[in-house]
Amino acid sequence: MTIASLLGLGLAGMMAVLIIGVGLWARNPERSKMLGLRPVDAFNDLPQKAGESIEGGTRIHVSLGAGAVGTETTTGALAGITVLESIADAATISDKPPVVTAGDGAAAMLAQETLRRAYERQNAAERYDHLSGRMAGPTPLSFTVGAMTTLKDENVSTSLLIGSFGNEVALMADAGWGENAHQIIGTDNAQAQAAAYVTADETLLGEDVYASGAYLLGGKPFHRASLHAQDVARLLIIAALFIGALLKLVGII
Amino acid sequence: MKLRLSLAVPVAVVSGVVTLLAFFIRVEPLTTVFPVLLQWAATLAAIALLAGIVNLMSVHIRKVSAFSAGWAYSAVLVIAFVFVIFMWLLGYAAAFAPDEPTRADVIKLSQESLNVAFQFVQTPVEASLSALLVVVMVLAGARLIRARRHWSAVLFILVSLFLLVSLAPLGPLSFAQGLRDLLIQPLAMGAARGILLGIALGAVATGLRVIIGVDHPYGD
Repeated sequence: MTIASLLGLGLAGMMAVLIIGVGLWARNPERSKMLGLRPVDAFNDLPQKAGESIEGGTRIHVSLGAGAVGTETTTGALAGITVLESIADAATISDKPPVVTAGDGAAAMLAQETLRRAYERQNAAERYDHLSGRMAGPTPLSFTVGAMTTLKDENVSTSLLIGSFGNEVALMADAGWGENAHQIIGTDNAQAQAAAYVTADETLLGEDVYASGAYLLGGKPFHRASLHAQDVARLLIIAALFIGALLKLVGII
Repeated sequence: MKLRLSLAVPVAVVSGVVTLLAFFIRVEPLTTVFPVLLQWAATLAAIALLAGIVNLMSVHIRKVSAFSAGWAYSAVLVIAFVFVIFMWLLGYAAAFAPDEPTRADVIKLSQESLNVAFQFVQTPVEASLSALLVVVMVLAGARLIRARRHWSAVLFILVSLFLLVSLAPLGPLSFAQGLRDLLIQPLAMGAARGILLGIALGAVATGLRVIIGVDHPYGD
């Protein structure tokens, strides 16, 4: 076992312990409030924009990106699923249920399952349409074109592109702009975040992409805890970088 | 539902923990179990892809049959899909040809048709879309100032314009190289690394929540 492996495992283990420990502690709503969150405009506006879409009889589009479950982009798709979960209950009472696009069969199935559960919770399982969660295309560009078509044809007024997107997300955003849709983009690709910043109404930068569960869904305790675990891990990494640079400077390493 | 979940959560947690440990620790029996789990995952991913393609076709067939908005494009997609699958299967069907020249002709026809579809349809269309991206980005940059009246939007546009102009082969602007290097190297690279660190930690935390079983996107 190398030192790098040991450090990696140690960091993951520490984060897991913090998520479980702080999450269990924060299950009490009073304590949960003590875990402060900085304001993120995209999350503050999302419930209102989703509500406007539902009341206006238009559709909410959620896209999980071109990432595939089982690859390094899995967590991007899971971030999109969390956002879908947060709006699904409210959106399923609308005449126009939400439509979800994914670039992978497994991600599309996860989206279908999330929507199906939302309909079941609303005692409206018979209204569930399994084609509301769909694979738009198997490659990044074919997925982009498929999602653009969905934006144009499905009377979308709010588009949430949260997942794994490359620079081609700008094309999707442009299609949404043409439909006058309010767009929030969050991607796990740093370069595409710049493209999203230019084209979206609101952009989720850095780790904000993964933070939706802490802000939406009534602020789930384990999601809030994971934000604090990230902060602790970040501080440790910054300290390690700083000490490493200092040791290099004085010639010890 | 409860029974299904009571099985799914332990299976997901054990598989996740074993895979995570095997990634870092190379000891038996982890080294034996790790590739087996990966093979299962690959098989499941292939089945999910097939399900995804059936789902994709179902969406478009429904659009065509209902003549809903954009049905003509869906019709083109369905026809192209059937054509490509047919030509691909034709290559395998060549094994049943009565003689060798016919077999060779059928295989050639299959391969050339697939080449035409990928080389002269899919590749140029994807390349055109990539080119279109540049135009879209320029237009979006112009719209940004109007849409987002914030100092950060102004700074974004000014820096982008400066970098574009300073990268152009214009002699009088060579003085700008120092400022450009300052913007690209310590400032932009430093910020990008910070963002990447945040994304990586966010991805780890999201994965860990699934591995330890507090998040289960596969069921309530």
